[in-house]
Amino acid sequence: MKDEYINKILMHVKNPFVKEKIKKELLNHLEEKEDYYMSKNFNKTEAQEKAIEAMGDPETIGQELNEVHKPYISYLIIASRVFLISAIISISLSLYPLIIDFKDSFFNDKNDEKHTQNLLVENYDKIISMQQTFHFQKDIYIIDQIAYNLDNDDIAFVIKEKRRMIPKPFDDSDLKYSFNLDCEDTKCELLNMSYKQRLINVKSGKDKQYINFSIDSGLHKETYQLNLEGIKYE
Amino acid sequence: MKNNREWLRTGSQLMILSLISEHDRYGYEIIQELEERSDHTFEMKEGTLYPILHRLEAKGFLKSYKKTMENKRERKYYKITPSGQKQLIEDKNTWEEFSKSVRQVVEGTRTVSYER
Repeated sequence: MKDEYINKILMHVKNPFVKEKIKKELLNHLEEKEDYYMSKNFNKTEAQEKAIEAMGDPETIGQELNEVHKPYISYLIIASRVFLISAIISISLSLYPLIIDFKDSFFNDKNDEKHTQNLLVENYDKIISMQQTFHFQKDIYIIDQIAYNLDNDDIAFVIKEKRRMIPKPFDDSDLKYSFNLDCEDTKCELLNMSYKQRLINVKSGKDKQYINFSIDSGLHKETYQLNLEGIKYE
Repeated sequence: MKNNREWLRTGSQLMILSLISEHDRYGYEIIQELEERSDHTFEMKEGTLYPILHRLEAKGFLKSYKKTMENKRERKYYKITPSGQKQLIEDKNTWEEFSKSVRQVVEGTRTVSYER
């Protein structure tokens, strides 16, 4: 009986977020009024009837409650909050790879550069500057130094991946993470591998006019020639 | 000048805010207190109290909280907020003015007519 009555009231309340709260509040009221009537020696059913009677016309109460709890403002607020949050999430998600690439370009490059430079200086007596550029798929590789020792025939070169500073989104290059470098016809040793650089030592390299090497991304493989003509090791 | 219904609303708003400003109360308690203090002049249909309470809360004059009783029943108590206090003072003043004006009209210059 109580529940039916309260449902008659709630029927008029359109805001779904407040119905449960109102139900609890009204139910509590009815229960306390029931207790009052039972203390006046009415039986449970009579007490409930009288309590409901004292509450009043469910339609009027329901309509007035609806006036107060009009839902459209709540919906508007919630909708705009949901929209705002999803906008923030989608923007962050789409920016994330861009930001990571950007950060990589800045920081790893600098560290790599310093690191291999140190290795060269520590392990070899002399360094010659040069510039040879190799194109692999969408990336550019540069060999810009040849290092050598005075007391043996080894030479070394560093192959560096050079990428545009701001990578285009969705324009994946093959070689984002790793590549294999092989020397085809000479004894190459990979001395150091970092994010974008490889330090290769070539045994008896001083004798060579050319060093053939290949770059293999796992998806593509291409061969190149490092031109050593005219280099004087003094 | 307010219409009848608005005066009734102001009156009940004033009484309810006043009761709650004394101490926090829940719905059923407010009804009982109203009936008692007014010598049963104000015997409203009890359900109509709740739209008033909810509107006062929506306006920021009251703040509700739940209190669980020993018998596991949950009561929704209302307390008055600072802006509710302000509104109470305003309503009291308005009501004083209103009753003063009525009195002035009723006790003021009267046209006495005698029929013999």
